[in-house]
Amino acid sequence: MADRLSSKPQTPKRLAILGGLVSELWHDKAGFIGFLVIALITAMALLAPWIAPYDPAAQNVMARLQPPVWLANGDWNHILGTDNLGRDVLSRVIWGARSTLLIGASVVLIAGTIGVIVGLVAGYAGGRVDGVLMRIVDIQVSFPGILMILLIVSVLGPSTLTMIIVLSITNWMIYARQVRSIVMSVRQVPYVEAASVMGCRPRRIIFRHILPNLVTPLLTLGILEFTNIVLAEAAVSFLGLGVQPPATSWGLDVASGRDYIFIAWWLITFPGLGIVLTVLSINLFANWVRVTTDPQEREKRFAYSRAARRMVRPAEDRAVVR
Amino acid sequence: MSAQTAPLLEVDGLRVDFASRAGLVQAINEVSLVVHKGETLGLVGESGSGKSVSAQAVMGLISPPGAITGGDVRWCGTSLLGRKGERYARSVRGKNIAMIFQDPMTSLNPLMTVGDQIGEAMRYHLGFTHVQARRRAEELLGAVGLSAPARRLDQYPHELSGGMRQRVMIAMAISCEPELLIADEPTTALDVTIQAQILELLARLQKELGLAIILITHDLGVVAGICNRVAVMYAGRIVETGDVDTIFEDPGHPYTQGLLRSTPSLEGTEDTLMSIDGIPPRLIDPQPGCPFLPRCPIGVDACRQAPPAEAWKGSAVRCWKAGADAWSMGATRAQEAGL
Amino acid sequence: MSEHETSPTVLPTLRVRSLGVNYLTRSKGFWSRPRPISALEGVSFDVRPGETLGLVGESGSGKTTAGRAILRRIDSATGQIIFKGTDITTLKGEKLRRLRAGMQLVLQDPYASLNPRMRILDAVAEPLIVHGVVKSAEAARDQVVELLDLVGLPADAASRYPHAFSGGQRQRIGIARALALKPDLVVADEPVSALDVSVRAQVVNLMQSLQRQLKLSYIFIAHDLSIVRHISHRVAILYAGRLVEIADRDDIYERPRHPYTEALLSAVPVANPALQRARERIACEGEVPDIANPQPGCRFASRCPLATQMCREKSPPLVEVAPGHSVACWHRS
Repeated sequence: MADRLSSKPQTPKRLAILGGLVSELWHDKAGFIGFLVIALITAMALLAPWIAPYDPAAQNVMARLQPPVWLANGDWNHILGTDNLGRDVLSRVIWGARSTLLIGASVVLIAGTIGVIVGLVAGYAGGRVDGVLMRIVDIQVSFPGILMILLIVSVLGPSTLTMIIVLSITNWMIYARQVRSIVMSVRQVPYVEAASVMGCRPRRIIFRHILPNLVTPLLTLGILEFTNIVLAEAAVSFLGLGVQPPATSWGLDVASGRDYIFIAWWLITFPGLGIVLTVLSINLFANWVRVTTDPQEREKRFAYSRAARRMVRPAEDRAVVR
Repeated sequence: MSAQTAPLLEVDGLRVDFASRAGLVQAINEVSLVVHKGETLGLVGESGSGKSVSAQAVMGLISPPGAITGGDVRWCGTSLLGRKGERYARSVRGKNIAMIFQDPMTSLNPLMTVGDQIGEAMRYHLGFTHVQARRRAEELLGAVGLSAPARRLDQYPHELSGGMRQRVMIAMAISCEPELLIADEPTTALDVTIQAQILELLARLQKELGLAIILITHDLGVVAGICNRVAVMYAGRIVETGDVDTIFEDPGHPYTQGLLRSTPSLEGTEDTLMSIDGIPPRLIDPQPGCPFLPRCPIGVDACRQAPPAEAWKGSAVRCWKAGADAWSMGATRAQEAGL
Repeated sequence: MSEHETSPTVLPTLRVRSLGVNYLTRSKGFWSRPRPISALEGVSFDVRPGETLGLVGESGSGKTTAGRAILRRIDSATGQIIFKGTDITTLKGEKLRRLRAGMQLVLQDPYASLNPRMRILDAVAEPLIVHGVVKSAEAARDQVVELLDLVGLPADAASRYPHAFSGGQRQRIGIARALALKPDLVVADEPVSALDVSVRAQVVNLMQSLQRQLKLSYIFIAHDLSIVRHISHRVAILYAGRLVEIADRDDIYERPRHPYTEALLSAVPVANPALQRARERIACEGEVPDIANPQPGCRFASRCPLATQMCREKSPPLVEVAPGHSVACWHRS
C-alpha cells in the first residue's frame, strides 16, 4: 500500500522538474540559443529527404556556380547558389549535416564506451592493471593522430564507417583518463567504503555506487568532445580521406570549394558556417549543462542572477533609519 | 566589565539574508551584541545557528548571495555599514579587529613563507619595511610559543602541524596589535591536548595585550574555561546573553538548559545522556514566534509570538517563560514513555 | 597482555592479539624501495558480547587504522584477529565477504556515508540483498521499516532520499543499515563527533538501547573522552600507534595510571566555569611525534613530564597493574 501511495505523485513531480529545467534554460540566454540551434540542425539532418529542395548529388551543367539569391544573377531556384557541377548548395548543406552529426554521435558513443570501461577498470583495480592500461593510454596519446588515420584509411579504404572507426580509435583516451581520476576519488568516499564493508561485490560497487557519479561529468565531456569530432571529421574529409562523393559532409564541401574561393565564395562559406554554428552552439549548451548538473555551480549561478539580488537588498537601499 | 566605558563593538539588531534557489534563508535575525575592552565573549551555538555568519558580518565577509538586510555594526560608536561606513571599516578591519578561523591550513597561503605572511599586514597597515616586518614577525612567533621562531620564518605552512599553524594564524592576527580578536572555532580541528595549549595561549595574550576576544564555538567546555560573558544562539537568534557563571549555574532559556544537560561531563557516571528531542528548524521562511518552540518541553500558546528579552538573574533571555525549569517535567515525561 | 576474565566461560566476540599494521611510503629518491611505516604496533584487547570498548586517541594514534584492520579493510602486518572463535586474520575472497555480515561499520560523516542517489529503502536493504537474504529492495520493505522503527524513524522515511534528512537522522539510517544483517560487532568510527551536542546525546542513547536489545558488541572509536565515558564498559587509550593503557571505564577515569591518559583527561574542557578555572592542566607540551620517523623508547617520552633516560631508550611493555587494568609505562607499573 505504501508503495502505491509513493508511486502515485511520481509523474506530475517529474513533469514539474522538467518544467523547472526548461524555465532555467530559458533564463540562461546563451544556453537557450545554443540549444535552439542544435535542435534546428538536428531536425534539419533528420528531415533532410523532405526539406532539401534537390538531390545533393544531382548535377546541372546549365546552372554551374550560380550565386546565392540576394546577389546579381542569383535566383530563387538555388537559394544558396550552386557549385562547380551545378549542385544545389542548400541541399548539400542540409544533407551534409546528416553525415556530420551521424559521425559525431557514433564516435562519441563508441569512444566514450571504450574509454569508460578502460577508466573504470584502471581506477577500480589499481596497481599493475592500472599501470598497464594507463601506459597504453599514454602511448596512444603521444602517437600522431593523423598518422594513425592514414594507416587505417589505407587499410580499410575511405568511407563513413571507416571515419567512425578511425575517430573512435583516436579519441577514447580522454574518457579513460577522466573516468579513472573520478573513480579514484570516489573510491575514498565513505559510502563506497560502507558498501564494501557490508560485503558488496566489486561489480555491484562499481555499478551501483561509482558509476552514477560519472554521469554528469561524462555528459559534459561527451558534448564537448562532439565538437572536436565535428572538427576532426571536417579536417579529415578536407584531406580527402573521409566521407567520399557522392555522399557529402561539410568538411568535404569546404575541401572541394577551396579551388573556387575567389570566384564563388559561397561554396566554402555555407558549409563552413554550418561547422562554426554547430560547434559554437554545442559549447554554449554544454556550459549550461555543466552548471546545471553541479548543485554548487547551480546555486552560484542563482546567486549572481537578478532574482537573488532582488531577494536580498542591502539595508541602505531600503532607507532604514539608523 | 563596567557598562560606563563605551563599548568597542556594538552589533545592533543585525539581520543577514541569503538568497537560495529554495527561498530566502534568514541566517541571522535581530542579533545584538556588545563587546567591551578586554573582555572575552563566548558565542555559542550549534551548526546553522548563525554564530559564524554574525562574525563574518562584523568582518565584512558577507558576499552575494548573502547580504546584510537590517541593523547596524558600530566600532567605537561609528557605523561600519553603508557607503561612508565601508571606508572607515577598511581601516578598522585587519588592524583594530582581527580574525582567526577553524582550519588554519585553508586560511594560510600555501605558497608564501610564514614570515612573509605575518609581515604582510604590518607592511600594509603599519607601513613597516621588509626588515622591520621580519624582525617583528620573529618576535610574534616567539610570543605565540613556537619553538625556534627564526627558523620558522622561512618555512611554508605545509611543513607545520595543525597546532603550529593555528599559532601562526594567531601571530598574524595580533601583528597589528588589534583591540578585538574574533576566533571562529579556533580549536575544533585540533586534538584535545593541542586545544588546551591554544586556549591557554589565547587567555595569556588577552591578559598581556588587553585584547577583547569573541570566541565562537559549539563546545560549552571551551566557553567555561576562558569567557567572561556568553551569548547563546539558536536558529539565527540570540536566545540568551549573560555572565558566564550565571548562564552555567542558572540558565534561563529552555534551550540553554537543554544544551547544558546534554553536554557529557567527565564526572558524570549516569548511563543515559539527556538529550533534546527533535532537530533545529530550517531557516528558509521561518515561522513567526520562538524558533525553539517545536522542541521546547514547556512551550505555550504565547510562544507563537516572538518573545521579548526578559531579564533573568542578570541575563537577558528571549523566552516567555524565562527561568522556568523546562526539563524536569520533560524528563519525567520521557521516563514515562519508557526511554 | 594479561586477560581480564570476569566470566571465563563467555567466549569473547572479538579477540585481538598483538595487532600491527604497516603503511608503505616512498621515501625520497626515485629508485628507493617503499619503506614500511608502523601505524599500529602490538595492540591486544578483547571485546565480550554486549560490551563496548572505547578506543580513544588523538589524530595519528592509529585508532581508525585499528578499526579498519579488525574489519579487514586493510591487511595487518602482525598479530591475530579472532572473531567468535575463528581466526579471520588472513581470510580472503568469498569467506571474507560472508564474514562481513557479522561485523559492521558506522561511519563518522553522516553526509557522506549514504549514497545520495539511493532511497533509504535501497540503502538499508542493500546488505540484505548482497548477502542473498532477499532478492530486491521491495521484498525487504517490511524488514527495512522494522529497522527504521528500531532506530526511531517513521516508515515513510523509506521512500525518501538522504538529502531530506538532518545529520542526526542520517546517522540513525547508517545505524539501521549496519544492523540489517544482525551483526555481533559494530565498529563505530567517531559516530557522533560530526553531530551537534543536542543531537549527539540522542544517537548515543540510541546506540546504548540497541546494545541492550540486541546484545551487540561495540568498538566505539573517539577522540572525545567525555562521550566515551557514557557509552563504554572498557576504554583503551592509543598514542602514536601503541596501546598505552586499557582498563574498565571507571578505572580509567578515576585512577588513570599512564601520564598520557592523565594529560588527556585534564585537557578535556569541562562545562563548569568555576571548576574549569580551578583545574590544573597537566603539562603536555609539544606535539604528537611523527610516526614516519620513529624514535626508540616510549613514544610519549618527548612530551612526558616523568620521562627519564630509560623511557627514551627502551619501549615499556603493557603490564597489568590491577585486575583488568594494564599500563605501558616504566614509572607507573
